[in-house]
Amino acid sequence: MPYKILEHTADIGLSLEGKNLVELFQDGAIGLVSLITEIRPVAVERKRIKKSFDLSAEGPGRLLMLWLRELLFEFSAHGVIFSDYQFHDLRETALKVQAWGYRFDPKQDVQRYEVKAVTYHGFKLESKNFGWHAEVLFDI
Amino acid sequence: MTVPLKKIDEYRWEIPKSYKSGMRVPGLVFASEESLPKLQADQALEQVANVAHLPGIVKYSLAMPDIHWGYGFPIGGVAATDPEEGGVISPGGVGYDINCGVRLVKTSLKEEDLRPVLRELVGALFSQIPCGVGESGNIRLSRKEAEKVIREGARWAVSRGLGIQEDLETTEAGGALEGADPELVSERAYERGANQLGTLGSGNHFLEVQVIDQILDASLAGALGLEKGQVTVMIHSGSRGFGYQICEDSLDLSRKSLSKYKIDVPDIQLACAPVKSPEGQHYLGAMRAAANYAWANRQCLMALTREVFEKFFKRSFRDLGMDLIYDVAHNIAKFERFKIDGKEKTLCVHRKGATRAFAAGHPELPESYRKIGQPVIVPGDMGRNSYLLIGTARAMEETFGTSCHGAGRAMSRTQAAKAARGRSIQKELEQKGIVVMARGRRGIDEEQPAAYKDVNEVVRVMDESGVAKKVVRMRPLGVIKG
Repeated sequence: MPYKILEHTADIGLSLEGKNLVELFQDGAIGLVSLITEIRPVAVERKRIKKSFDLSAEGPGRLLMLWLRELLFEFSAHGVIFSDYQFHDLRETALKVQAWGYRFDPKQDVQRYEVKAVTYHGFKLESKNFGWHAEVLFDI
Repeated sequence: MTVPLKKIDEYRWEIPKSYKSGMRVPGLVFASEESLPKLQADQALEQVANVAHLPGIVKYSLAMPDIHWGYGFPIGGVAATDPEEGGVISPGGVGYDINCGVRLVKTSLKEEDLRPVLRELVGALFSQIPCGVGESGNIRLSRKEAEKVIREGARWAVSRGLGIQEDLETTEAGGALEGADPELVSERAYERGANQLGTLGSGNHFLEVQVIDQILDASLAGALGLEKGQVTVMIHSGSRGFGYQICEDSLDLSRKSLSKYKIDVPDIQLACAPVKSPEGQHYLGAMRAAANYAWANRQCLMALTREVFEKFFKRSFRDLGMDLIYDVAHNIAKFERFKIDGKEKTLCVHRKGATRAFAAGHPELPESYRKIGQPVIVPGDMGRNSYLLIGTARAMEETFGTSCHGAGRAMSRTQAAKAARGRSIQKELEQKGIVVMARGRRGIDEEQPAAYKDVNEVVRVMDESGVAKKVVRMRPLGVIKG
């Protein structure tokens, strides 16, 4: 599994490790989306929603938070699950990602958590000898 | 690490101000001695101490007996700040689900009327009331309509035929706070709120059909028109994605202004700004918008519930006696007047998982409750009980007119899921006569009764400490969950 679940009394968190930021950001995205639903291997015609994300922040921690918030917003406001990502550029202060997704269907798709938000509580992103480690708690 | 607790009496424990260097006031925790080891097991008490760092905090950082580990504030935390003394407002002190709350509706039905048709009734509620992850409501809000919802709250719903005038009288703040400003709401919040009005949500939100199984104060129960065996309906929901987005936007604004106001908080989730600052005022205008959205939401959910009952029993909701007993917010910040060291002051009271519990005589209470005090609705878990309490004078003196808001979680979601492995919680509840319908099995497992503290114990602490008085106890019959 590219991420580990962190226990919390009321909410739920993810612990992420990546050799580089691309791996970490990718795993974070998969982790978040997997808290919401079981990602479906969808047919090509269903996987037709495409969106570019272009974000910048003062550092990699804030950038990770903004990236996860974007994905959460797309689901909450538009019902879109973005499950495939191509990172065109990812530096510590900016990212450019092309993402593909599908419209969530509450009748067909697995319903897991209604993630309300990405919180600052216990949030961390640090460089390690193997690459990067992050912890993030979501309000459920 | 164990947080030091000084015993004041059987139900009151103080976290000394000396525990952490930045604490401006001590912590005051309402708890029974038996519950302390569990409280020390996670970060809840640490969070009580963290809240005591907020500039302008008055008297205590309070914790109700249902306290558990949250993000920033503990759930069950209360903090009042004095705007005249540089007091702050903290979006994290309200939480993402702004004005998450509960309402309790009575009926003239008896348990025996429901028993033979319970499964069908719960099924009808489950199919008619939008709930679950990613589920939209039947109402589509244009930008113009959304602005009306923001300004009018539950009044908006009533003006569209989704309720009656009397519902507003028995809703905290009449179902709308003054000062909600549509201009302070982000485009993202409007987008997230556009199709979520009239939806229950997921997680711990629910709609429950219950029966009153114990009368604990005959005179108060009589005054509220409640008797043993009577069926009630409880609805728990909040401001949905609209409120979550407003909290997120405001937290960023407060976070950025921390250095400007030279505020140091031990957890960034406690980011705050002086009430009187532009950032503080911005949050207040936006928070009130979300609070009003939440009251409109619960009003719409009640209207849907009445409609289901009407179709099901082929009688009007008035004929079914479906009056709203009360609607309370349990995630909110409000300005209220309290006597502090003999002086009347207007304080900004943050209630994060805590319920207002005003005593009899308070001018903010509707005429019908001014003599008896404010009804406080305390949901438990789906296998045990829920309560209706009444606020007391002691609450006004000691807890800024506040009581507990529920049972409080005892297990993490993963622990609860593990405890449910190889079992069917749904079947176990059914054997107890409780019909539960949910969108996913995981929801039932993680929200199982054992995942929560025993609400009977939580309420006992409030009652015996004199903060709120027990009136009636309910038992669940049917539950729908997202």
